[in-house]
Amino acid sequence: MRYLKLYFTYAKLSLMSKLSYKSNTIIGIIAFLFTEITSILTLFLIVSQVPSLDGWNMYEIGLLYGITNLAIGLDHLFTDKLWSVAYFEVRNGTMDSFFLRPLPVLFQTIACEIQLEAFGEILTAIFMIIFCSINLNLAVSFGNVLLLVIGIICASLLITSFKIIIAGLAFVFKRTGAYLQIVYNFAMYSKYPLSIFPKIIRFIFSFIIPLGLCIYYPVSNILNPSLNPYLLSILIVAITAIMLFLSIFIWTKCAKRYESTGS
Amino acid sequence: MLKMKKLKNKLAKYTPFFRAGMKSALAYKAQMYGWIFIGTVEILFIFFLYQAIYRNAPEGMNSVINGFTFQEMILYVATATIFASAISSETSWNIYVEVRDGTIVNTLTKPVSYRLRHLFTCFGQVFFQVIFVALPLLTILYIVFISCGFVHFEPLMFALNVLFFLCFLLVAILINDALGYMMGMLTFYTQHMFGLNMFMNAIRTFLSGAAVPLSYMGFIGVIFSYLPFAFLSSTPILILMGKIDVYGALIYLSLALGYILISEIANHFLFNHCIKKIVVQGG
Repeated sequence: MRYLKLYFTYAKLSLMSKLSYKSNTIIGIIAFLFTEITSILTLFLIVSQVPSLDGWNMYEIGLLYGITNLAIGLDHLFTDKLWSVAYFEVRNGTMDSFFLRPLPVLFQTIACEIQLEAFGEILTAIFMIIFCSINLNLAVSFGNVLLLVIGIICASLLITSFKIIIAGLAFVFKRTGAYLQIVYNFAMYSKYPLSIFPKIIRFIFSFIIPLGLCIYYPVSNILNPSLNPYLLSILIVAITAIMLFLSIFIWTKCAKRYESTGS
Repeated sequence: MLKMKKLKNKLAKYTPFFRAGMKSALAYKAQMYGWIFIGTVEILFIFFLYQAIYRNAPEGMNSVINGFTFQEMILYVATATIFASAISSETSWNIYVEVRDGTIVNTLTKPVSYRLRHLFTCFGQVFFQVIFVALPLLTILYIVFISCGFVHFEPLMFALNVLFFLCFLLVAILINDALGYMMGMLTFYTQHMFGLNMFMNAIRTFLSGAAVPLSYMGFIGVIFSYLPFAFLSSTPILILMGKIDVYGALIYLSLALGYILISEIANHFLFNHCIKKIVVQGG
């Protein structure tokens, strides 16, 4: 409860600071919105060349794309500070204040920034989900809705876990932004149906960077119910929890190696 | 003769900026190799995506979609990725840092042109990227594709295409830098360069045909092919692939030169306007 209260205080401060530069915030949101719109147009131009992509029609691919983007957008909204930890903060030794306060460093790092630019991604994702669902005439069971909600939250937490691990390694290697970028760019391709990729990539997206497990399988199950949504939900939650604990463990271990600039 | 000498002397003072640009590219070469790795992974994923597209097309892997066979499509995408990394410059970001930190005054108080200074820095940076990264990668790529018989090859015609491609490479560098400079000028009005760069990248990637060939866009793609963005990806690549004939290439070249001239004139007026807004602490 104490942490929740503190989180809201941090979030309020971050919002106040962001909103004091309104034009910058608006430019950021429009930039992300525009980037997403051009990505969707590109996807449409490519996929519209064929009636279906390994059994996935355009609306189904759009739904998968929208749901993946929603997970990415949620992670972007709440944990964007991890990028600057990986790129600059550790290298410049500017995290001293986090280490001096009687609170976990990871909690402060995540809580101190709410990235409003993420609404560019979130809004386009929501639009895509609604637009494609209407066109698909989806009749979804309670179990599958629950599975999807769990899948989106867990996918978002999984992205955060990978960000925590790689940003945490910056305490040891000083700068790990490029590695974070590689994993992030790799994860972006989970927006496409896993069936178009060879087995090795399907395996990676199912078990190593299990974004496919959190999103591809739940979406497939909505379109063609074949798996038990409750069992799949338990599996997704279990894997996400393991990844999250592992990432916190690695961060905590690595944070002990932080070197202040002393100034 | 005297005029040439004067011009040579005038340009000579910008060589340190060229060297600085090259050194800066060298200093961050690890970062650039990181981007090449990311680019390679992206090409791999795009390969699988297009493989699925062609597999699902009515005539299978032998289909020709919007004028591209599967092999040509992969060649286009790979060339576009390499080309984009070759011409990328940091002009807008450099201007942003100078305006933010106030170091812009160091240039303004010296007898050098602000525009030429950034252009030569860009040349230095791009020189390294083109000579040490893009050209070797493109050479390997085309040797593989030609020796596998994936693309039609006629030595004389290909040599001519390469010659035109190199001209368009220079054109692309100039247009890209002019756009970057224009973007940098916006720093005088807003400090959110990350957002502006992202916005610009989205426009550039889509309208230049780097994400998907302009022929996929039908009639709108034809209009886009005459915009300055097309010279940043689509036109040079199509010329190298032999999909634009000599006559077409000459028309595009004259159009591109017109765009360069217009953008530089616009940049000149923009700078004169923006510079009036500058506030630098005297301390």
